[in-house]
Amino acid sequence: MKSSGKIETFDAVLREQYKYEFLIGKFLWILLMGISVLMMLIPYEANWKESLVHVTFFPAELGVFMYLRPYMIVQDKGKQVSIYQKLKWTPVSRKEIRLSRVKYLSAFCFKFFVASMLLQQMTSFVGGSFGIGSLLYPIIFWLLIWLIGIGYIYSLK
Amino acid sequence: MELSFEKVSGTGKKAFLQNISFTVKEGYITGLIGANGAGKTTLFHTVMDENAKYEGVIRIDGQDIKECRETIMNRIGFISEEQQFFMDKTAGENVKLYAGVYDVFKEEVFSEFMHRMGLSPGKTVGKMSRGEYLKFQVAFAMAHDSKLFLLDEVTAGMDPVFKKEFFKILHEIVQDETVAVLMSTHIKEEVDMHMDYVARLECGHLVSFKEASEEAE
Repeated sequence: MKSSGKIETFDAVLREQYKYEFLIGKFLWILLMGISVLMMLIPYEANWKESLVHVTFFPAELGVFMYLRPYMIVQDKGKQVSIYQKLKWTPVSRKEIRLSRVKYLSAFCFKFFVASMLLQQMTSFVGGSFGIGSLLYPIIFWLLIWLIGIGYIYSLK
Repeated sequence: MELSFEKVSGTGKKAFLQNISFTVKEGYITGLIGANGAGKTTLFHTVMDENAKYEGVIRIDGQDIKECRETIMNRIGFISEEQQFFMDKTAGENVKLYAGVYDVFKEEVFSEFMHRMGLSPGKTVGKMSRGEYLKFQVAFAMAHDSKLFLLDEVTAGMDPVFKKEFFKILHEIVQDETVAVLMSTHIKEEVDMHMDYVARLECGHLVSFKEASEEAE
């Protein structure tokens, strides 16, 4: 399904009118994703038994939620309301809204996947512990993060 | 823009509407009457909701709404207390948010109607009185060039002065013979004075559809 561009226009105004919420989200996801990406400096092949390596997952997942949340939920009259509810009686379909959020999520995860992949390969080569795990770890890591993000997008009504 | 229901029945656990068939003709105001719980709001939601579950066909200008929902939604003005605007934002801010979502949105038309109804675009939607909120919705619907107006119990609690102005606007709207209005109401006087046709619902069933003059008798 091709996007009509309407939801992107809506989102541009949403970011403007909910500047504060997007700013808070941005501050938090920069912090969380920064932690997560930096922890990719731990060579996976040499340290896969260490729980620290796996704990990296949680700040990354939280970071994705912080990024997506202002696009999914708005605070309105003291309540948290899904963006689908605000657009349910307009010419944009729920499918189109979800598609736009999936695009944002995918672009977001891809950037950090690339950074993670580069850092992980670099640290593995330098540390002499390069192996198949070094390659697979960032791929599986970001695939899982992406899938959980997809679940979040599709879970809201 | 003509709206027609062809043997529409709700499905699923909350099925309520049964075998509804009638047409809302363009150029006329059709009243939808019935006691509380008769199914009036359910009928509106069946038209408006993307995932409404029903059997039968709802057509707008002959097209099944399930096949061309996004196109059709551009031309429907749904006016109801349940409408989903951003209540913490001003009328003007809501227009900026939603304008891009419609194929056509004429901000000058919105401003003109708001001015005519004595309402400021700078007023927060959540702080509007019921009457003001409905006026805002009418202005909004006019701005995206609505050809089908669905009004759900909008006149309940309206003061007589505004009600007179409101119906004046409604009659002006249907002078454009491409516009159809379906309006639910409890108030007999409104049916007698302003409706051209009346559909009566009882417990989800359409018990009659006739000209308002016949209904008055």
